[in-house]
Amino acid sequence: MNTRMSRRDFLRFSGGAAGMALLAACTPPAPPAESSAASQAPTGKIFEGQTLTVAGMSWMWDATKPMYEEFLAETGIKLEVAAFGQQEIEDKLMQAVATDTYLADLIAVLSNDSADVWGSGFCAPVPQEILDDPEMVWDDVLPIYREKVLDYQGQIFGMPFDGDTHHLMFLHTLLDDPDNQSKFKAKYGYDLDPDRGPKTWVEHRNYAEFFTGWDWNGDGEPDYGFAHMMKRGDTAFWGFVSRSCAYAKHPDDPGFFFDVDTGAPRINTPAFVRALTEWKEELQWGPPGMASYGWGEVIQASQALKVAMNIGWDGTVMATEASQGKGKASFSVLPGSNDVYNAKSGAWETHDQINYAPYLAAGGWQISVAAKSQSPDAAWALSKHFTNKEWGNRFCFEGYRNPIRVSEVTDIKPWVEGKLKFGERSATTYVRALNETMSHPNLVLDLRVPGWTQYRDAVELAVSRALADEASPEQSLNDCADAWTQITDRLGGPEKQMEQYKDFLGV
Amino acid sequence: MRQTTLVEARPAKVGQSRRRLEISDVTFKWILLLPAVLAVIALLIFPFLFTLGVSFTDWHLFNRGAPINFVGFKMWASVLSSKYIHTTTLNTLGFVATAVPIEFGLGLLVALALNEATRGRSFFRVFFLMPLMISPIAVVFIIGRLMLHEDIGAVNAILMKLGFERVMWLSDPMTARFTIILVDVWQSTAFMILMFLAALQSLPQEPYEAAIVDGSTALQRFRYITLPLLGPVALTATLIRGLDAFKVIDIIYALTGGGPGQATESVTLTVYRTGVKGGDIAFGSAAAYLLLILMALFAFLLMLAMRRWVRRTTD
Repeated sequence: MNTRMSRRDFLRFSGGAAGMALLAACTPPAPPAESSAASQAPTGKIFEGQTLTVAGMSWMWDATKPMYEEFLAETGIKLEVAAFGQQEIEDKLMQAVATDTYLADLIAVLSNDSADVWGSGFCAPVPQEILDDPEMVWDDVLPIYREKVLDYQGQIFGMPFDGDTHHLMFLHTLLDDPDNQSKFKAKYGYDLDPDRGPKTWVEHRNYAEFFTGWDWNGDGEPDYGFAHMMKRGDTAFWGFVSRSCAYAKHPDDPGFFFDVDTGAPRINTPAFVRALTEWKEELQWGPPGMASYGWGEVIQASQALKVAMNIGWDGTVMATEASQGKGKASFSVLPGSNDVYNAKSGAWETHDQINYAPYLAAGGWQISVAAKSQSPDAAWALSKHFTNKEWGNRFCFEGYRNPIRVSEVTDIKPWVEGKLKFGERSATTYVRALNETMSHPNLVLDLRVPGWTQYRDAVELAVSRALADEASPEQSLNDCADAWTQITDRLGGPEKQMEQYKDFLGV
Repeated sequence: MRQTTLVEARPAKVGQSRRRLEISDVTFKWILLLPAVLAVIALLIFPFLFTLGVSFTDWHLFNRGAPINFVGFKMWASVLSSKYIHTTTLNTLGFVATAVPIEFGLGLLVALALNEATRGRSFFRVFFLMPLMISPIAVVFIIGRLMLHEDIGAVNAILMKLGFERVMWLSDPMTARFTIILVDVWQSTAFMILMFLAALQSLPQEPYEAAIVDGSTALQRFRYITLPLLGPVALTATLIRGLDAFKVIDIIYALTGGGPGQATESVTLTVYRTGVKGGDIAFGSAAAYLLLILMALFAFLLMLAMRRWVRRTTD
């Protein structure tokens, strides 16, 4: 058989292939299928042959696998999990949003990113059938999440998965100790508070100093007062904002990151400068190298009982198998301050009452369905299964995610008697801290404006420069404010950005 | 020019009306080349020109609804006047200027030793190449986050047992720069070893035999025969490693995030943060071109220097 191709045949073949490729390229992509069966209770393998890709952190999808395997078997959905670290998932998502490319059917969205992710049309709003679905029990979702975090400009885009606030963790066993109590009182002139821990940042400094440099955990090594997240490119933004809230959030002013009237950044006000200055001084009461600690290192140090206090999310990590602190940790709202900076008047005020300004740090990871999903019904069905009250409670009480529902912060029984065995005192103070934080009138809502990652990078750079002695706190935060102004200008100007900021604040 | 008739291989059918398509050999070659040319245009030249074009606009991916304006050299001016970029550029140059020579020197030394080794050569070859087989992120985790952990890391524990002070591997700006270089050297020296070992084993033996007959010492043979003969490979290896080092991002991103402060941030990390993740694609494109210019300059100067060095050594 003659297998040689003549030039004419070659040209015909090539032309045909090129033509087909051109036609394929010019054909518009198939529109996403209409979501019609979203609220149908899955009966039988109604999604047989459909594959869903999910993008999220490994703890969200890998660790909880036994809990949804049965649902996958029942519905016939095949799941492909793309599990990333916290930074990686955000990086991947922002790249996909920026380039408008498909990432996955179900996506874990950090609340801070939602102005970019939901505002760009990258994700589909939650269909009315899901909003009406009794299994979801939307009234059970805490109002701050239902009305703020999951909502973008009047539409719900996020399925309630994870609630995030920052709170103070302290080892109450240390504060209960009579010897520590008498020594502390002799040194500082007031009592340790085993129930609430330090109530102000001044007290926090005293506590930190007191528990630094001696072996209070009995391992033969000196231990430390506290650990905070300070690492650039990790979680330094949230660590620094938590340290600043009490000084910078005036109860009469809705704005925090910006002046809502002018759009001027406030990140370099004396309140933030004071917080950064004090934070830097306090490095001496943390473990060596704390300036390079991310949240992961803070957890490790806390679980190993190397530090007496921390600020962060995930209080339940103190009750896991890896922790030596099970039953030893208590929780409270972030420390407050009697000194509050009034950015409107440009002056410090001294209040008789402590100014608390708890922080809805990050706001949690919510599940969204991509607008480009080719299997939206299956995606909504799985997201509903993953976030409905029954399963949501179960994930929460087993420590896979933080509370987002009323039912998760009302009764301590599931925390104490459930799989986690949190400990009654730990559970009581944990639930109390969360309730006080989320219902607080001076609660600081996190930054959620378009291009937020650039604002965050600028803050983390400023913090890191100051902690590394590359610049004074004042200089580094002034540079940060200049960077924020430039970023705002690049993103359409203060008016455009403030429209989004005010919308989130509800101003 | 020779003409080719496309139908010459087939006999004409009686009564068939046909047009004879005649193309030259040159045209036919171009037709054959067309797919490759299109691929190069689509995957290399278009992105190259597109990025250049974007750098003359004010395009920001997260400034939704805003028109994209041509702003001339405004973004280039922003990049060139940015203190942030100045610092990251100096960091990058410092990293390349330190890490690559160390890797070159160590790689050459180990390759010479392996080349002379008579026992365990195969084992040591694989042993020294192992770092190349490990993902940079894993290297960062094992070396950076575990061994060099400032509080509970093995290295500090040993140093302190020996009576030394605790070393702030990641929190001190100067030391963090050193740590980044240390991790890179640990991983990338293997590449230099691989290149030099392959070159050493392919060197001709005649010059050595002649030099031995002439009574030369080992050092003289290394200085006047080995080094000049290794010149082309040394140039290639340095060029590849150097260009790679200019683009460093993974180790820094995972180990220090660019900190403390801005001490370890590279231009590539800045481009990634600003242009890719931050959405400021115009600024990011201009910064990426700055890096490209730096790399081209590096390649040009390196080739010039290596040529002079080889010439001087062989004279």
